[in-house]
Amino acid sequence: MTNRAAALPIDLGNGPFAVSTRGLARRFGSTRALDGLDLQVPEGAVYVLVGPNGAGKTTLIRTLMGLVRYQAGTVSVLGRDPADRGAEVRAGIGYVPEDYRVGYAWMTVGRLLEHQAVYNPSWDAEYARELRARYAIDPGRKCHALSKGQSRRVQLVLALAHRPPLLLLDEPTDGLDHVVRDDTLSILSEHLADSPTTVVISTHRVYEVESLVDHVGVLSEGRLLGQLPRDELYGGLLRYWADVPEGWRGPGELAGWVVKRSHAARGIEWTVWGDRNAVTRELSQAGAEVREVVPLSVDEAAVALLSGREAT
Amino acid sequence: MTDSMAGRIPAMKAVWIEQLRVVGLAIRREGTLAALVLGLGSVALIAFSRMPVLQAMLDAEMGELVLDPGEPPWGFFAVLAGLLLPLVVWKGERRFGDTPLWSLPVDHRRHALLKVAAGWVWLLAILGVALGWVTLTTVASGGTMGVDEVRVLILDPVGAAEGTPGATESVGWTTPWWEWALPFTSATAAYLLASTLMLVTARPLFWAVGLWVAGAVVVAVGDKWDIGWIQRTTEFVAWYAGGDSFTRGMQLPIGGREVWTLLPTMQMWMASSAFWIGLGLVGVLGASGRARNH
Repeated sequence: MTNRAAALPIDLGNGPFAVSTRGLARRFGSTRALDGLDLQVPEGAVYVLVGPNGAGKTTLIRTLMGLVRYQAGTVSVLGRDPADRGAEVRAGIGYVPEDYRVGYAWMTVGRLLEHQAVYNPSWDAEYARELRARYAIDPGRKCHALSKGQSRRVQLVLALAHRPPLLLLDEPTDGLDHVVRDDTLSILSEHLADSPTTVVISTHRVYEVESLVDHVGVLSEGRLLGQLPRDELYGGLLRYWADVPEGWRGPGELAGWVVKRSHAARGIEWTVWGDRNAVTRELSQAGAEVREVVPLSVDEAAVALLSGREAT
Repeated sequence: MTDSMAGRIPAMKAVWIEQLRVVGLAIRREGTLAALVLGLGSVALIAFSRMPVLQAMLDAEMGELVLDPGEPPWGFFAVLAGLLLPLVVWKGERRFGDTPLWSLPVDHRRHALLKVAAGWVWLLAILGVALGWVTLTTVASGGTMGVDEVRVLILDPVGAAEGTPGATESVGWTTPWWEWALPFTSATAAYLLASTLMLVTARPLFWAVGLWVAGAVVVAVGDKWDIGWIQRTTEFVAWYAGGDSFTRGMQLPIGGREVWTLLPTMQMWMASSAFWIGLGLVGVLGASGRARNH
């Protein structure tokens, strides 16, 4: 069987993009952390970067922050190259790192917020107080005495309170219990409603942030497998359940890209990227009886794309 | 806040003042401890010197306290403070990788230099206060400032690295003005070199000890096998630009008096200060550049 449809799209058009990379590459020894990456994050988008551990998500975010130097390609963050103008780039970013340790261990949270305010001329002290109260953060507490969840909340306050045009959140819900996680997502939603912000969220728990997301990028081994608006993903990446006769070999040619295929005794469960009507028609013509076609959540889509790479 | 402020980098003056504050907070605990030790030591010294009863009770006599800023222990403490302070300045600060410091909107190299400079300002302040305090203690205990006579060890042959303690002669000497600057310059050099290690390695103590041991091995090898270039380098580092001329002459304990192998000169102090401070500056500037390249 051959696929007439191309793999998932990567080019999101002409922008404008808050973040874009072209052919971005970075090696650590013999490991290719980023391998010719073409990232495009439209202005105002909430872009989730999905991928397994070691896919290159954190390296990518650190590169965008100017914390890791890239070796090939081009990078533009808020119109600037972080390698040359790192300070200006970071001034426009609210950053929640993967590491949940905050600031100086010996410093109190209140002093840490003052410290951050000095570095961000756009710091909104009133908003910071509001967030701190909402997260029930004790300003007199020493940073080293914070739990993982409390540290995460402090990091979120530090990232949001200067209302940056771009948020880079690396596993932002990691370490949060269910209640705090829901509160965090609700704060993020409100923040996005109040402040025009582009958000890049790196996570392998897509289901937690799915309600916020409008663009998806799937990263594996330093390369993007796909990059597209969420609605386009919902409409184009579908799971087909069909009954098939014994010895069924499938259509000779399919107007879609089979991302993942599973076989039961007399049935198939295929995840296909392509036009729904055309794929259904061609499966039927090949002798399959299509019983159900369902869209995938972003989380399911990511799992299918990442686990079904060999099927391509 | 206005939208036009979003994405603006902070003024360097604000960052500088903040780093001064942060370093001040970082060293607060250790500084308080040192002040406490200094204070208690001073009280004990003054009490001992002013109360013959106390001396009789302890069956001990206290000699006159002489403050000569270039001499041990003052020079030693100044260098020690310079070596140890970077550990406190960078306390709680992860210096490598994805850390809060490097995530702030300031050029990494500039930020590292500002932090080192803030620590240096505190070092000078601490030394100033300590020296002032010791001066007060000396005066309060009836001691004297500076020395008026030293004993010089006559080396045989002249210029040899070692001599016999017996061959000494007394020389009139007044502590010159630049000796009061000496603790500051030697501490500055030590601070810059230690800061270099802090910026280039995650294990500064390991490297400090390693470099010291490696240096000692190289010197021993040079001596044992008479390797000329090693001996010449050692001589240069240890004598012309090294610790001896940096903090003055060789000292041997003879009857509680200080013995030098030669009288220190301002030129030697300036040359050795320039050498070590220059080396430290080159180190810090080079190491701060590393912060840009992860």
